[in-house]
Amino acid sequence: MDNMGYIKTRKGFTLIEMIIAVALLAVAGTMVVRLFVHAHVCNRLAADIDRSVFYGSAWIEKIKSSPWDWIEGKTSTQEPVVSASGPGSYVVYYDDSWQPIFEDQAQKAAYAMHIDLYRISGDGLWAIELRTFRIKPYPLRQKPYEEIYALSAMVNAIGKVVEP
Amino acid sequence: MKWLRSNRGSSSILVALALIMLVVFSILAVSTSSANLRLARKHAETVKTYYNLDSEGERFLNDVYNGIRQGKEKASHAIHSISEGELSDAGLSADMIDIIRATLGSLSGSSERQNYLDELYPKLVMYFAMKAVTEAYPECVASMAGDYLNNAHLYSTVPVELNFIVRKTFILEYDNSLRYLSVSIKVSDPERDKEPQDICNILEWRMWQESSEYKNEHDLWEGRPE
Amino acid sequence: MLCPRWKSIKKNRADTDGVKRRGSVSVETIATLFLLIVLGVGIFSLTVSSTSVYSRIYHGKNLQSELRVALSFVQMKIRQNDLRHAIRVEENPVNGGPSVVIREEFGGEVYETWIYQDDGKLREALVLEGEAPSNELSFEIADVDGFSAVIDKNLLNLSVWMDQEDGRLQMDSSILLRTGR
Repeated sequence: MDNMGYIKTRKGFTLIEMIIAVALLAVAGTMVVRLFVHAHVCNRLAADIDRSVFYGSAWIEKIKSSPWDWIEGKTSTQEPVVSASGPGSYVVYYDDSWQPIFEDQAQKAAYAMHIDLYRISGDGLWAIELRTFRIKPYPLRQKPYEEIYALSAMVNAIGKVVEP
Repeated sequence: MKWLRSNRGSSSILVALALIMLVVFSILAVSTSSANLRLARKHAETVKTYYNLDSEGERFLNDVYNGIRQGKEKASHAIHSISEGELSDAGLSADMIDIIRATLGSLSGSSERQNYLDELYPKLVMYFAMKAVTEAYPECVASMAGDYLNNAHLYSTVPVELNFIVRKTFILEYDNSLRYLSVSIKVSDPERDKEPQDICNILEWRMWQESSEYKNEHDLWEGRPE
Repeated sequence: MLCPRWKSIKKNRADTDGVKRRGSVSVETIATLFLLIVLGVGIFSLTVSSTSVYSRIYHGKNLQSELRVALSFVQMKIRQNDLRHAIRVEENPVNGGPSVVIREEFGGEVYETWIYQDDGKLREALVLEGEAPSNELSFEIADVDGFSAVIDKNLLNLSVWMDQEDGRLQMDSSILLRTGR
């Protein structure tokens, strides 16, 4: 009974108690930090999707306003940030804050927008495929060059009528 | 109950309280950002749906352009056949052939005949274009000036206002609601040197969706379903 | 019930009763104090960082949401009213800034919808043709600090932005007026 009284009156923290508390904090704190990182990634992805949607639809509308410039590859004078990767294929690079950058600075790019045009029918109907990729992986996701958004549209680009 | 009193483990209680607060914050952050992501994705899908509808409109426009292109080709062929005297090869209806033959017969001089053929060309373009578009899209074509397909007397020396309008509404169901695209194209003045996109004027390219209606399934006054 | 460790501590205390031994603070006490400090600092920093992360996430989400709503609203209005000669860009009489004007006919009357930015808000005002819009007659659509609309050969270029302490958050888009071609 004297021992029980001795134990009862001792106040303060014991070492083992502190060790357990710090260990608990470390383990649970790690999980909490992961949740916050996940929340940050979701927010970032939402912002990237918004940008992809608006910028992507802007490029599609520009193509529709002058389709032959894009089909014939004459975009360089009007849109210097657009780089041609093949016939009817273009890439636009963006940095981390969604500012377009030139092809020679592509190593700094965080996003890439691929635009492909291909003919659907011989009478002037073309398809536009636009895909946006995140080049660097998001935190906690190991997948580089992840596709954020894909959009497709059509445009009429008819040539001159040849009369018999 | 004195034996239950102990100060041990109080630090763990402090840590647990702090962690509860942090977990609540983190869950709030995750739910806020997930909701934001859902909204962004929903907006992205809406834009995709818009371009799906827009593609239907572009196909329709392409068909109208093709109709005009066919009209120009067939009109050129018909004028050539008429000038060669082979009206039966012109691809026109019997009534039209009769009117054209009668008109040509009433004209004297090659310059009058040539003027007549020059004025006949855009009329024939309208005839063949309207025929092609009506075959592809029945009941979508409305002519302001007259019925190019059935009114043979338009192909005499009568001056005719050359235009017709093609209208179509496309419907797409998305997320339990209907989205519409109304396209209206005016085809007018098909001169020889004009491209189909210059002959067509888009009067309307309007997208809308049906307004959501609140469906009251419960009688709120009585508090039970009707 | 009494563990051997406690017996030893009790014995030491009994031996040195009344005589304080110099320079012999228990290692256990120091370790406990150290861990207590670590715990306190850990909880404090975790709390501070989590509150700042949450407020940053919330603030960022709000900004993004306002810009998205503003830009998609303008695009939606244009797409719903793309008729011949129905859409133009003009200086608004409220503050001289750019505005998108949409002309519509309802029941024989001609109305104009003015979309412009003023006083930190994107606004929409529906007035009769020829009347000037005003903030009292307008609806607030979203919080934006700036709005720009430039038309270039039937391509309408739109921008909305929010000015922050660390820079400007801007979103741009373009829309082709199909009835213009």
